[in-house]
Amino acid sequence: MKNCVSKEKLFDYYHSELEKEEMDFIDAHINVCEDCKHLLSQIESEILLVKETINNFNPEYIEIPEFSLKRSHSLNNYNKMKILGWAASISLLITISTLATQKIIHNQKPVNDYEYFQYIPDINDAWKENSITVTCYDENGNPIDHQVIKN
Amino acid sequence: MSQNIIKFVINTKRTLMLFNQIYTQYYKKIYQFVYRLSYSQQDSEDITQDVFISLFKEIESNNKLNNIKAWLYKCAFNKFINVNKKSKVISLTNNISHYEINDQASIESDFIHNEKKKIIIDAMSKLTEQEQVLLNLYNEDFSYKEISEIVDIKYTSVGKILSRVIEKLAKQIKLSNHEELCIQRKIV
Repeated sequence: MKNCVSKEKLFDYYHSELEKEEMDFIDAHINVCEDCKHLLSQIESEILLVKETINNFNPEYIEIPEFSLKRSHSLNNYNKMKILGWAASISLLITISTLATQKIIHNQKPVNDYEYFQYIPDINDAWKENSITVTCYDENGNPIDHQVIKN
Repeated sequence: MSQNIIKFVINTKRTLMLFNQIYTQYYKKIYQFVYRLSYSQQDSEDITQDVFISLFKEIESNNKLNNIKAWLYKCAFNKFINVNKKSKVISLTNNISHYEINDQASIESDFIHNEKKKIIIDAMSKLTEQEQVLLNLYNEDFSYKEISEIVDIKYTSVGKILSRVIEKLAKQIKLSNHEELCIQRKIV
């Protein structure tokens, strides 16, 4: 039939969740359309079947406990775990960054003054002799920085 | 001064009476709602208790609650989501192991009942979390408007999702009923 309504619309119609105009239209249509009437009864039986099944899934016995303002241990534990998790991740981050910084410093290749001069292109001996190099060493005695001061 | 104290005592008594009334009326319903989502008695107990603690605080601080039933379910739903996120349990499938199925059923009817339960739990687990929540709220006779407010979805989507979910589930239940009949015949 041309004016047949969809199953979704019939579902809404069954729960009276449509505008008045649409409700009236479907009311009138169902009276004359056997297919839609059948579909509506099918929807009804499906709803009843599903509701009956859901209601069978309950715990055997529910006891109403005395009300207490104290939160349950498990929910409190969730919050404690959350705080501990944050603390652990922050401390881990600090440890990793400290170790990484130390590693970077230690990994710098030690260079002595002579080798350092090799890095400077077009340097002549006279200039080399008249130059003063300031070298910074770390706590282990490895050079970490050089600076050439012209004489 | 003494009048103020009397007023305070009367208000406190009223608050307690109102709260006790809601508590006894809705405790089981909220418990069942959470249980059908979590399939865990421990989670259901904890979340339900927490919901009523929140309600008590709301009533105590004189906050106006227009629809207490909807408020309770919304609160329970939000707490369930939070607990699920925290415990890294996202889908119902993971919770099914908590569901108590009597494996030592010696009586035939128990065996068939358990088989049916398993099949239906399996069917329910195939639904998305949103579909399960919608179905459970629908089962509690909430209107589309209330459901859309509790789950925070569009009003127009409620009917569409529900109609699809009910059709899908009904098919699977019918199938499981058919399988149950086959098992019965085999046993007989």
